[in-house]
Amino acid sequence: MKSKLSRNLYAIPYALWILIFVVAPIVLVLYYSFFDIEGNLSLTNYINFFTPVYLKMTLSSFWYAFLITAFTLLISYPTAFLLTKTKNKQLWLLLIIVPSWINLLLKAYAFLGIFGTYGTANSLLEVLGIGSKQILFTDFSFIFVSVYIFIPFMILPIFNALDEMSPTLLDAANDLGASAWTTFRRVIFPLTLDGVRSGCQVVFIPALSLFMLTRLISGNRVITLGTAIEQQFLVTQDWGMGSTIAVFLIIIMFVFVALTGSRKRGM
Amino acid sequence: MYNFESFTLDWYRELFSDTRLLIIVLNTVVVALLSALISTIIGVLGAIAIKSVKGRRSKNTLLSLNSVLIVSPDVIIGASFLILFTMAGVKLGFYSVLLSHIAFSVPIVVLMVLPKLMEMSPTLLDAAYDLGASRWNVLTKVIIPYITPGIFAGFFMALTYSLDDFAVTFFVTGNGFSTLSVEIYSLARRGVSLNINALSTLIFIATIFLVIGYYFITKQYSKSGMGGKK
Amino acid sequence: MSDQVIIRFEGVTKQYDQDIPVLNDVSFEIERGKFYTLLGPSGCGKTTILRLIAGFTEATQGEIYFNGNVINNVPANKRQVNTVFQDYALFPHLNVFENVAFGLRIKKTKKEEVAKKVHEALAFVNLEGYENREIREMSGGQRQRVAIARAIINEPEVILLDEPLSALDLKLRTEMQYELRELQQRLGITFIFVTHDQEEALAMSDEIFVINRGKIQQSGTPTDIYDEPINRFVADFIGESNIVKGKMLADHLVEFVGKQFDCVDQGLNPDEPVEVVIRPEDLEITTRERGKLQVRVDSQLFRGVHYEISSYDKDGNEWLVHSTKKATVGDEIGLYFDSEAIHVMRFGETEEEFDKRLEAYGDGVGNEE
Repeated sequence: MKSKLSRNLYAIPYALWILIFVVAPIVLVLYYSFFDIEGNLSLTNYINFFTPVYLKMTLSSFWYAFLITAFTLLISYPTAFLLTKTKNKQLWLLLIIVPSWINLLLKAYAFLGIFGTYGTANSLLEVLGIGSKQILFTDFSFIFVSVYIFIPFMILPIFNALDEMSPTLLDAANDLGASAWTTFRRVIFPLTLDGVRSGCQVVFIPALSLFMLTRLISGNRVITLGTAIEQQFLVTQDWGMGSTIAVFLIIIMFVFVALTGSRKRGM
Repeated sequence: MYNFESFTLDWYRELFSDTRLLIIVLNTVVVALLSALISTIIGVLGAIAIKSVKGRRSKNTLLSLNSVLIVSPDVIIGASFLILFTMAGVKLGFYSVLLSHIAFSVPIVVLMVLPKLMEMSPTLLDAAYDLGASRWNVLTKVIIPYITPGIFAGFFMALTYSLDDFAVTFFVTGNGFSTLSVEIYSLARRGVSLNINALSTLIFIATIFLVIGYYFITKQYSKSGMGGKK
Repeated sequence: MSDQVIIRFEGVTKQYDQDIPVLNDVSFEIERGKFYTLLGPSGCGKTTILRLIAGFTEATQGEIYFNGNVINNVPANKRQVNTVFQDYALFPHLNVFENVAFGLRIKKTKKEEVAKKVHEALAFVNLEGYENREIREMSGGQRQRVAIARAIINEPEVILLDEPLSALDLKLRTEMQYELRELQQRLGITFIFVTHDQEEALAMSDEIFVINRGKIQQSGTPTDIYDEPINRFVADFIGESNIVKGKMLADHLVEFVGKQFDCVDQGLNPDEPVEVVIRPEDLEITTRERGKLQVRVDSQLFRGVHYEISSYDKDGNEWLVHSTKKATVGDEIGLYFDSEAIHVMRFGETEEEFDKRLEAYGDGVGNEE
């Protein structure tokens, strides 16, 4: 079997990559989650996770992620729908996608300027006579910026689903006597559900694990699971607890993907 | 932004006279190019390996393993790599950053190359063997030229991912080594400064150029028919 | 074994996993310089035979000989055969010249020789002047020729063609049939051609292997196979046939549809149940009284050269008639045929038995004609 072995030599770097950077990290995170801060093997971290402090944090992280996903969807679906109706839809789509190419940090940073005490937003409020307000470091600013950042990721799959839909389907629905609303409810929406699902997946999971935005925009007011992990690893240096939260984040991720998993219908 | 008086290039001048910052820019570029190059090589080999796997089930397992690092949140990748490097005794700094950038770019390259490999008709390989080609000939004269557009796309994607990454680098970098995004983050945490504004503009322009470059390369390939578009 | 034999299969079986074998204990010989066709429905195993010869797949059992040597373990790139693929498999990143030159480049042939040989090969398939074209600029028929040029440039002893005409439209297909046949005769090498199109097989081949369910059903010249099909499958697959159940009463006497008919078949057991084949073009429309069979016309289609008339006898057997004369739907008509038009098939007869039986009464038939 020597020839077979030497035939597959080329696959070694990739196999090593899987072992070292895919399998090993997962195993290590799991392994570390069973060590408390003193380095003793214990379940302390798991017990701690179910104390009110961490449960409250998890719930609030969920709540924010839910809000962000909901608002993003609310804005993206109609936008995607309108996009498919425009003449130069590819160009418009490109314009909406362009911001997602720009470094997340730069976008966050731009909002620091806009929402700052002397920023554009406050100048505008000033002009309107409302007076300057504290915008930065509020829930509003956090959700606003997150939604802004995630919109392209939500629009893209929905746009694709809408765009793939054969226009004759709408004609057929019309032909069979469906009203515009019925057509949307019974034909368009079910057919774009896969797009909505994958859109929600690419927004919800990252929203749970945001940590740089929470620091920059919401000034530590919002603690997501991601922020907690970063805190445990880089500030408190409690890798065990950090790993435990990571384990839960991974579990939540799998559950969420399984729940929203697109069941491909035979078409 | 605070006291806007007139346009000036002072901030750019300050930027370029700041050697520390120049070193950081250099770090970022070196890490991006090296990681993109190495991950492209590993990724292409990986895609060929995945393609050659016969069983449906093992193929799907490989594909799932491949996408783990794409769907995982950055924080988890960063944290787990931090554990990995500490356990393995890799000093946090250039090498840990480079290795992690290679690590998260590999699956992207695989995903860019694999569709090209899949669309390649299996008779093409049969034809090459039939005409006397050895396995090496088939690889260098048929497979690689055929998937070149995918390889370029993968390389550019890896480059952008590396330049764009903040979270993973933030976790695995150590004293004395920093990339642009980490630097901006620490500056931004201290508040708005015009220095960063200038830096941001530069990065923004660089990104635009990358995107345009990527666009033209893919377009040119599809035009010359190398893409095998039907 | 004669020198004429270039490829020999001995008890070759090909099986994937635990499925039914794609090829089941197949043995045959291929001779030098002839045009062979492997004919059969899709999934019958004909392409598998081709892939076994080319070396793209390995036999589960049995030996494959090439020029007298077992080549089971010789890899594809070391075999003296070249293939023209169904989808042509032209390299899209290379132009016409480089596609044709591929095999020579692998062999590191000198530059001038490559240029000379490519030019010759392209001239052979009437594609001079197309050297610098890209593959995507070529039409289906031209790609076909490039693929052939690429296959012949290595001067193989055998060329394998895997349904190469299936992607072409009808007119071009007919043209290419002539061209391929003529090309084979000019080159004087063995062509093994795979198709599911019986007309193609009849038109081009020296020898046809009719294959079904992993077995060679019958092999022979086109006329042999058309005139004397061995069983129902072959009779049905090649041309159109009227097949009815009958009984062999004695030599030269067969009974079907409740009547007795003279025929040329002999050597069967008395009262042996058989199947009787009569080709639609051997049936002649006549009056009810003069016909050997009485049928009622059910429907009629105009096919250009002839009318295709479907009729039924009183037992409910369908009789297809190809006639230049028109019939009237609903009419009771008579069908007349010669005794040679009747072909009797035994159930489960092997090819050797069949050939032996045909040879035995070869004289009798020959004299009558």
